[in-house]
Amino acid sequence: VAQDAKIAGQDKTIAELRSTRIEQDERIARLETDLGRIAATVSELRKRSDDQPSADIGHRARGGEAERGERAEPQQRRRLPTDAVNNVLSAAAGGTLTELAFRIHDLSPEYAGIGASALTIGAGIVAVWRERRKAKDDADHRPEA
Amino acid sequence: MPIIDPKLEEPARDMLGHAIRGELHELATLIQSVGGEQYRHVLGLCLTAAAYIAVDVSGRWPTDADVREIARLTAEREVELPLDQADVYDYLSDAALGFQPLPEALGDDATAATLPVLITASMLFTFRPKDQKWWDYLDQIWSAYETAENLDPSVLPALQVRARMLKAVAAR
Repeated sequence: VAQDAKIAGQDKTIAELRSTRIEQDERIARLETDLGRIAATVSELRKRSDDQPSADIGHRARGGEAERGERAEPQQRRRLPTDAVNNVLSAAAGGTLTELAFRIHDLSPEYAGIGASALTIGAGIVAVWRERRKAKDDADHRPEA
Repeated sequence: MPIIDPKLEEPARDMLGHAIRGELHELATLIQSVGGEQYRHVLGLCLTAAAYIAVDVSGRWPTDADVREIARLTAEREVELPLDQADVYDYLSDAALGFQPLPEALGDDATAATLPVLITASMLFTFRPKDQKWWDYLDQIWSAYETAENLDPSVLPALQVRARMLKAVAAR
Protein backbone atom coordinates (compact mmCIF):
# COMPACT_ATOMS: atom_id res chain seq x y z
CA VAL A 1 0.00 0.00 0.00
CA ALA A 2 2.85 2.32 0.95
CA GLN A 3 4.52 1.45 -2.37
CA ASP A 4 1.30 2.28 -4.27
CA ALA A 5 0.97 5.60 -2.44
CA LYS A 6 4.61 6.42 -3.31
CA ILE A 7 4.04 5.59 -6.98
CA ALA A 8 0.82 7.66 -7.02
CA GLY A 9 2.75 10.58 -5.47
CA GLN A 10 5.46 10.29 -8.11
CA ASP A 11 2.83 10.17 -10.90
CA LYS A 12 1.26 13.31 -9.48
CA THR A 13 4.64 15.07 -9.37
CA ILE A 14 5.37 13.97 -12.97
CA ALA A 15 1.95 15.22 -14.07
CA GLU A 16 2.57 18.57 -12.33
CA LEU A 17 6.01 18.89 -13.90
CA ARG A 18 4.53 18.08 -17.30
CA SER A 19 1.88 20.73 -16.78
CA THR A 20 4.52 23.29 -15.71
CA ARG A 21 6.63 22.39 -18.75
CA ILE A 22 3.65 22.87 -21.06
CA GLU A 23 2.98 26.27 -19.48
CA GLN A 24 6.64 27.24 -19.89
CA ASP A 25 6.59 26.14 -23.53
CA GLU A 26 3.49 28.25 -24.11
CA ARG A 27 5.11 31.23 -22.39
CA ILE A 28 8.29 30.83 -24.49
CA ALA A 29 6.19 30.58 -27.66
CA ARG A 30 4.33 33.78 -26.69
CA LEU A 31 7.65 35.55 -25.95
CA GLU A 32 9.07 34.42 -29.27
CA THR A 33 6.00 35.75 -31.07
CA ASP A 34 6.31 39.07 -29.23
CA LEU A 35 10.04 39.26 -29.96
CA GLY A 36 9.37 38.55 -33.62
CA ARG A 37 6.80 41.33 -33.67
CA ILE A 38 9.23 43.78 -31.99
CA ALA A 39 12.04 42.85 -34.39
CA ALA A 40 9.72 43.37 -37.36
CA THR A 41 8.62 46.77 -36.02
CA VAL A 42 12.22 47.89 -35.39
CA SER A 43 13.27 46.76 -38.86
CA GLU A 44 10.27 48.51 -40.42
CA LEU A 45 11.06 51.73 -38.51
CA ARG A 46 14.71 51.56 -39.56
CA LYS A 47 13.70 50.96 -43.18
CA ARG A 48 11.26 53.85 -43.06
CA SER A 49 13.93 56.18 -41.66
CA ASP A 50 16.41 55.10 -44.39
CA ASP A 51 13.76 55.70 -47.05
CA GLN A 52 13.20 59.26 -45.87
CA PRO A 53 15.71 61.92 -46.90
CA SER A 54 17.01 64.28 -44.24
CA ALA A 55 14.59 67.18 -43.81
CA ASP A 56 17.57 69.59 -43.80
CA ILE A 57 18.16 69.04 -47.52
CA GLY A 58 14.91 70.65 -48.60
CA HIS A 59 15.47 73.59 -46.26
CA ARG A 60 18.90 74.26 -47.73
CA ALA A 61 17.87 74.15 -51.40
CA ARG A 62 17.81 77.51 -53.16
CA GLY A 63 18.35 78.53 -56.79
CA GLY A 64 15.65 78.28 -59.42
CA GLU A 65 14.31 81.14 -61.52
CA ALA A 66 13.94 83.45 -58.51
CA GLU A 67 17.70 83.62 -58.00
CA ARG A 68 18.79 83.71 -61.63
CA GLY A 69 20.14 87.25 -61.14
CA GLU A 70 22.56 86.15 -58.45
CA ARG A 71 24.15 83.65 -60.83
CA ALA A 72 25.39 86.47 -63.02
CA GLU A 73 27.58 87.97 -60.29
CA PRO A 74 31.29 87.47 -61.00
CA GLN A 75 32.92 85.38 -58.32
CA GLN A 76 35.49 86.67 -55.86
CA ARG A 77 38.95 85.26 -55.35
CA ARG A 78 39.58 83.07 -52.36
CA ARG A 79 39.96 84.86 -49.04
CA LEU A 80 42.61 82.88 -47.24
CA PRO A 81 42.82 82.64 -43.45
CA THR A 82 45.63 84.89 -42.17
CA ASP A 83 47.97 82.08 -41.13
CA ALA A 84 47.51 80.44 -44.52
CA VAL A 85 48.40 83.70 -46.26
CA ASN A 86 51.70 83.68 -44.37
CA ASN A 87 52.33 80.13 -45.57
CA VAL A 88 51.18 80.64 -49.11
CA LEU A 89 54.65 80.41 -50.59
CA SER A 90 55.14 76.98 -49.08
CA ALA A 91 51.71 75.85 -50.19
CA ALA A 92 51.30 72.19 -51.00
CA ALA A 93 48.59 70.77 -53.22
CA GLY A 94 47.21 69.34 -49.99
CA GLY A 95 45.46 66.67 -51.96
CA THR A 96 47.47 63.46 -51.83
CA LEU A 97 44.59 61.64 -50.16
CA THR A 98 42.09 63.17 -52.58
CA GLU A 99 44.20 62.08 -55.54
CA LEU A 100 44.41 58.54 -54.18
CA ALA A 101 40.74 58.30 -53.19
CA PHE A 102 39.43 59.54 -56.51
CA ARG A 103 42.28 57.98 -58.54
CA ILE A 104 42.53 61.12 -60.63
CA HIS A 105 45.91 60.06 -62.03
CA ASP A 106 44.10 57.20 -63.77
CA LEU A 107 42.15 59.76 -65.79
CA SER A 108 43.39 60.26 -69.31
CA PRO A 109 45.44 63.44 -69.90
CA GLU A 110 43.12 63.93 -72.86
CA TYR A 111 40.29 64.81 -70.47
CA ALA A 112 40.79 68.56 -70.88
CA GLY A 113 40.43 68.22 -74.64
CA ILE A 114 37.48 65.83 -74.36
CA GLY A 115 35.75 68.09 -71.84
CA ALA A 116 36.29 71.27 -73.84
CA SER A 117 35.01 69.65 -77.06
CA ALA A 118 31.98 68.16 -75.33
CA LEU A 119 31.08 71.54 -73.83
CA THR A 120 31.51 73.34 -77.16
CA ILE A 121 29.24 70.83 -78.87
CA GLY A 122 26.83 70.82 -75.93
CA ALA A 123 26.57 74.63 -75.85
CA GLY A 124 24.26 74.64 -78.88
CA ILE A 125 21.95 72.07 -77.32
CA VAL A 126 21.95 73.99 -74.04
CA ALA A 127 21.02 77.22 -75.87
CA VAL A 128 17.96 75.49 -77.38
CA TRP A 129 17.06 74.02 -73.98
CA ARG A 130 17.25 77.48 -72.36
CA GLU A 131 14.97 78.99 -75.02
CA ARG A 132 12.40 76.23 -74.47
CA ARG A 133 12.63 76.49 -70.71
CA LYS A 134 12.21 80.27 -70.85
CA ALA A 135 9.20 79.95 -73.19
CA LYS A 136 7.64 77.38 -70.85
CA ASP A 137 8.34 79.54 -67.82
CA ASP A 138 6.84 82.60 -69.54
CA ALA A 139 3.77 80.58 -70.48
CA ASP A 140 3.42 79.25 -66.91
CA HIS A 141 3.55 82.78 -65.48
CA ARG A 142 1.51 84.54 -68.16
CA PRO A 143 -1.57 86.12 -66.59
CA GLU A 144 -4.83 84.61 -67.82
CA ALA A 145 -6.79 86.82 -70.23
CA MET B 1 48.87 74.84 -42.20
CA PRO B 2 49.19 73.57 -45.80
CA ILE B 3 46.66 75.09 -48.16
CA ILE B 4 45.14 73.94 -51.42
CA ASP B 5 47.48 75.04 -54.16
CA PRO B 6 46.20 78.37 -55.53
CA LYS B 7 47.44 77.30 -58.98
CA LEU B 8 44.75 74.61 -58.89
CA GLU B 9 42.15 76.39 -56.78
CA GLU B 10 41.94 79.51 -58.94
CA PRO B 11 41.12 77.77 -62.24
CA ALA B 12 38.71 75.45 -60.39
CA ARG B 13 36.89 78.49 -58.98
CA ASP B 14 36.84 80.22 -62.36
CA MET B 15 35.43 77.08 -64.01
CA LEU B 16 32.73 76.73 -61.37
CA GLY B 17 31.87 80.41 -61.88
CA HIS B 18 31.52 79.96 -65.65
CA ALA B 19 29.33 76.90 -65.09
CA ILE B 20 27.09 78.74 -62.59
CA ARG B 21 26.64 81.63 -65.03
CA GLY B 22 25.99 79.20 -67.89
CA GLU B 23 29.03 80.42 -69.84
CA LEU B 24 29.83 77.16 -71.58
CA HIS B 25 32.08 78.57 -74.33
CA GLU B 26 34.21 80.41 -71.76
CA LEU B 27 34.33 77.26 -69.63
CA ALA B 28 35.46 75.17 -72.62
CA THR B 29 38.19 77.71 -73.46
CA LEU B 30 39.47 77.75 -69.87
CA ILE B 31 39.52 73.93 -69.63
CA GLN B 32 41.46 73.76 -72.90
CA SER B 33 43.93 76.41 -71.72
CA VAL B 34 44.80 74.79 -68.36
CA GLY B 35 45.69 71.46 -69.95
CA GLY B 36 45.29 67.82 -68.95
CA GLU B 37 47.38 67.63 -65.78
CA GLN B 38 45.83 70.68 -64.12
CA TYR B 39 42.32 69.74 -65.23
CA ARG B 40 42.62 66.35 -63.52
CA HIS B 41 43.26 68.17 -60.25
CA VAL B 42 40.31 70.48 -60.90
CA LEU B 43 38.12 67.38 -61.28
CA GLY B 44 39.52 66.07 -57.99
CA LEU B 45 38.64 69.34 -56.27
CA CYS B 46 35.13 69.24 -57.75
CA LEU B 47 34.60 65.71 -56.37
CA THR B 48 35.89 66.81 -52.97
CA ALA B 49 33.60 69.86 -52.87
CA ALA B 50 30.56 67.85 -54.02
CA ALA B 51 31.16 65.27 -51.27
CA TYR B 52 31.37 68.06 -48.65
CA ILE B 53 28.13 69.67 -49.84
CA ALA B 54 26.28 66.32 -49.79
CA VAL B 55 27.40 65.60 -46.22
CA ASP B 56 26.81 69.19 -45.11
CA VAL B 57 23.21 69.40 -46.33
CA SER B 58 22.34 65.90 -45.11
CA GLY B 59 23.75 66.55 -41.65
CA ARG B 60 25.16 62.99 -41.68
CA TRP B 61 26.86 60.61 -44.11
CA PRO B 62 24.20 60.76 -46.85
CA THR B 63 21.81 57.81 -47.15
CA ASP B 64 20.57 56.67 -50.53
CA ALA B 65 17.36 58.65 -49.96
CA ASP B 66 19.44 61.75 -49.14
CA VAL B 67 21.46 61.42 -52.35
CA ARG B 68 18.28 61.00 -54.40
CA GLU B 69 16.79 64.11 -52.82
CA ILE B 70 19.95 66.14 -53.41
CA ALA B 71 20.01 64.96 -57.04
CA ARG B 72 16.33 65.84 -57.51
CA LEU B 73 16.72 69.34 -56.08
CA THR B 74 19.97 70.03 -57.94
CA ALA B 75 18.41 69.12 -61.29
CA GLU B 76 15.15 70.90 -60.49
CA ARG B 77 16.69 74.23 -59.35
CA GLU B 78 19.23 74.47 -62.20
CA VAL B 79 18.15 77.06 -64.76
CA GLU B 80 21.26 77.41 -66.94
CA LEU B 81 21.93 73.77 -67.83
CA PRO B 82 19.76 70.74 -68.48
CA LEU B 83 21.11 68.52 -65.69
CA ASP B 84 19.77 65.00 -65.50
CA GLN B 85 18.76 63.84 -62.03
CA ALA B 86 20.11 60.34 -62.71
CA ASP B 87 23.53 61.76 -63.70
CA VAL B 88 23.69 63.84 -60.52
CA TYR B 89 22.76 60.75 -58.49
CA ASP B 90 25.46 58.62 -60.20
CA TYR B 91 28.07 61.35 -59.78
CA LEU B 92 27.37 61.69 -56.08
CA SER B 93 26.58 58.14 -55.14
CA ASP B 94 29.30 56.36 -57.13
CA ALA B 95 32.08 58.93 -57.64
CA ALA B 96 32.03 61.66 -54.96
CA LEU B 97 30.78 59.52 -52.05
CA GLY B 98 31.54 56.04 -53.44
CA PHE B 99 35.11 56.77 -54.63
CA GLN B 100 34.66 54.92 -57.92
CA PRO B 101 36.69 56.21 -60.87
CA LEU B 102 34.76 58.89 -62.80
CA PRO B 103 34.43 57.01 -66.12
CA GLU B 104 33.01 53.98 -64.25
CA ALA B 105 30.58 56.14 -62.30
CA LEU B 106 29.38 58.25 -65.20
CA GLY B 107 29.62 55.80 -68.07
CA ASP B 108 31.80 57.50 -70.68
CA ASP B 109 34.76 59.87 -70.98
CA ALA B 110 32.87 62.84 -72.45
CA THR B 111 30.39 62.78 -69.55
CA ALA B 112 33.11 62.15 -66.97
CA ALA B 113 35.19 65.04 -68.36
CA THR B 114 32.38 67.61 -68.18
CA LEU B 115 29.72 66.75 -65.59
CA PRO B 116 31.87 67.03 -62.41
CA VAL B 117 32.35 70.78 -62.97
CA LEU B 118 28.74 71.36 -64.05
CA ILE B 119 27.12 69.33 -61.26
CA THR B 120 29.42 70.65 -58.53
CA ALA B 121 28.77 74.22 -59.68
CA SER B 122 25.05 73.63 -59.57
CA MET B 123 25.22 72.08 -56.09
CA LEU B 124 27.39 74.93 -54.84
CA PHE B 125 24.82 77.49 -55.98
CA THR B 126 21.73 75.52 -54.94
CA PHE B 127 22.90 74.52 -51.45
CA ARG B 128 24.91 77.56 -50.38
CA PRO B 129 23.84 78.67 -46.90
CA LYS B 130 21.26 81.45 -46.82
CA ASP B 131 23.65 84.21 -45.77
CA GLN B 132 26.49 83.22 -48.10
CA LYS B 133 27.51 83.76 -51.70
CA TRP B 134 28.59 80.60 -53.47
CA TRP B 135 32.25 81.69 -53.45
CA ASP B 136 32.10 82.19 -49.68
CA TYR B 137 30.71 78.68 -49.36
CA LEU B 138 33.61 77.44 -51.51
CA ASP B 139 36.04 79.24 -49.16
CA GLN B 140 34.37 77.45 -46.24
CA ILE B 141 34.70 74.07 -47.98
CA TRP B 142 38.40 74.45 -48.77
CA SER B 143 39.21 75.78 -45.29
CA ALA B 144 37.38 72.84 -43.73
CA TYR B 145 39.36 70.33 -45.80
CA GLU B 146 42.64 72.06 -44.99
CA THR B 147 41.82 71.91 -41.29
CA ALA B 148 40.64 68.29 -41.53
CA GLU B 149 43.86 67.25 -43.22
CA ASN B 150 45.78 67.90 -40.03
CA LEU B 151 43.33 66.11 -37.75
CA ASP B 152 43.20 62.50 -36.62
CA PRO B 153 39.87 60.71 -37.37
CA SER B 154 39.50 60.21 -33.59
CA VAL B 155 38.51 63.90 -33.44
CA LEU B 156 35.27 63.18 -35.35
CA PRO B 157 33.10 62.12 -32.36
CA ALA B 158 34.20 65.20 -30.43
CA LEU B 159 33.40 67.36 -33.45
CA GLN B 160 29.94 65.79 -33.72
CA VAL B 161 29.27 66.44 -30.05
CA ARG B 162 30.48 70.03 -30.45
CA ALA B 163 28.21 70.53 -33.48
CA ARG B 164 25.21 69.25 -31.45
CA MET B 165 26.15 71.52 -28.54
CA LEU B 166 26.22 74.57 -30.84
CA LYS B 167 22.83 73.56 -32.28
CA ALA B 168 21.33 73.13 -28.82
CA VAL B 169 22.65 76.48 -27.63
CA ALA B 170 21.39 78.22 -30.79
CA ALA B 171 17.95 76.65 -30.32
CA ARG B 172 17.58 78.09 -26.79
